[in-house]
Amino acid sequence: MSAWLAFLMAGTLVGAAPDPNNPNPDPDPTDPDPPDPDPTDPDPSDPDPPDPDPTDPDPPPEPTDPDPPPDPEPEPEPGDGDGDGDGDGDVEPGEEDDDGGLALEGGPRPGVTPSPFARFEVADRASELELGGDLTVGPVCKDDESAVCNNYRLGLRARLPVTQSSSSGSGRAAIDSLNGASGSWRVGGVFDWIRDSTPEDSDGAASFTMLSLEAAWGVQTFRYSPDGGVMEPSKETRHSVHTLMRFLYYRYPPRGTRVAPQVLIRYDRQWYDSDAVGILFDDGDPSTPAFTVPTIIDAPGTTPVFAVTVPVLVSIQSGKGRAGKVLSQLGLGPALSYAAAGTSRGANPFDDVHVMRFESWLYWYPVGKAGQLATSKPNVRVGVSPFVDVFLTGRQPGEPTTDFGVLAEVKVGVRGYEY
Amino acid sequence: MARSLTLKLAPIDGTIERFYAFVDCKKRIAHDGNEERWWSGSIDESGTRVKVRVFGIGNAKYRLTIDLPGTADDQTLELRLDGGYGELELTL
Repeated sequence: MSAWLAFLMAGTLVGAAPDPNNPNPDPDPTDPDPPDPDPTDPDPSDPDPPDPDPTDPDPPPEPTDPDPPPDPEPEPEPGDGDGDGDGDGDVEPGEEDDDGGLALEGGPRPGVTPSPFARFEVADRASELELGGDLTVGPVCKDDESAVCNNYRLGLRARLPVTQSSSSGSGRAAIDSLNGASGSWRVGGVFDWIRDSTPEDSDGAASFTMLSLEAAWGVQTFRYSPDGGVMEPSKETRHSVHTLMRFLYYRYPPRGTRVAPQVLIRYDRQWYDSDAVGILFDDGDPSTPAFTVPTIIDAPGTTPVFAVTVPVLVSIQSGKGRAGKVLSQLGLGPALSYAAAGTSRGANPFDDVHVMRFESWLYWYPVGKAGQLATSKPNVRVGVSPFVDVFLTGRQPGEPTTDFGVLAEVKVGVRGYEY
Repeated sequence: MARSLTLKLAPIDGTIERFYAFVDCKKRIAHDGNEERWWSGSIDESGTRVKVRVFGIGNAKYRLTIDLPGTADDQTLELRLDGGYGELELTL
């Protein structure tokens, strides 16, 4: 935990903007029109310059002509330093390198932005705190194709359960996975690759595709008493994994309709305690009642789950009048999911329960005071959705074929187009 | 002679989805709008065109900060989207 705190602190410190008054900028050695050299450097006009030291890690530029003609008038170029030839040897802070980024010595490269990450999730009967940090890189563009640029995000995560996870056990493991409950601590990472093709043209739509990968791992030692607590409990250490892949396409014409279809593919193999049973405890005194003590007598279980979710998030901004204004603050998100769960303690997710779920999200993106929850943090999204789960195969005897309910979410600082 | 320019875009109110900033037709900011984004670099002395495009929800509000040391130190504009879209073009 302390390592994560240290990481957060480091992320905050590294996140400081580079000092534009950096007193020690590193002049570009490839600059064809370098500023006047340091007075200690060999004089290029010297017809017999001393041989540079081959061991010198930063040798001065070697004059190609022992008798150079007079210096031509320097032509300043954007990003080529001050070029004023004032002889002070200074280089303009923020000198741009070949990729258009800054070449500030000792500072973070612009376009590389670290930021802390924190999220609190409540799903069903479980709540979790997710902490971490992100490193965002980009946009990285090709010079001759400047409208198409790549962005990358690399993040580390620690996920901590705050309250006990779902007690629904193995029978609803597929549902728990759809709800995102993990039940124990995890560490992991995320990687996003965003290929953005939004043009500068005012009529051009914002458009990008995103591939996102997420993985998490956790280890937990479980205790259980096969003999009902007579002897010392048994211990079993198990490793849990969670993986997620998301592919998303985003298109948003100015003042038009934003659509963001996406596909999420998950694989979860989460170990959990078996359900406790009541063990009769009788102290032999007929004047006191016998009572039961909840005791876990079975070994821990796991249910491998594979889930695919296809949501399409839509927001219509082209409406007119009062209705259009109301509509512009709302969004829709129909989503179809398929989840398969395997047998307990197995790894194959396809040999037991198969569930289909349909959700129909209605999102509200509040503005004003209502939209500034959590100490004025914007990008708030409130969502509600009815859902229906259809058990295709593997339901327990007496269990209904369909299950209805309502989901609700409140997200702060959210990427509004993301399911 | 080059000048140093810093652009910052930050959400203030409502939901901002995407921030874009183009400096002399080069895409310098292309990020999600859920937190502050910035770019810093050098620009030409002889007029630089900056175009900002912002996509969001409804009439969400964002802040544009321009820092051009010696000329326009930390100039801030707070702007609202119209129909989920905002655009600003200026020459520095």
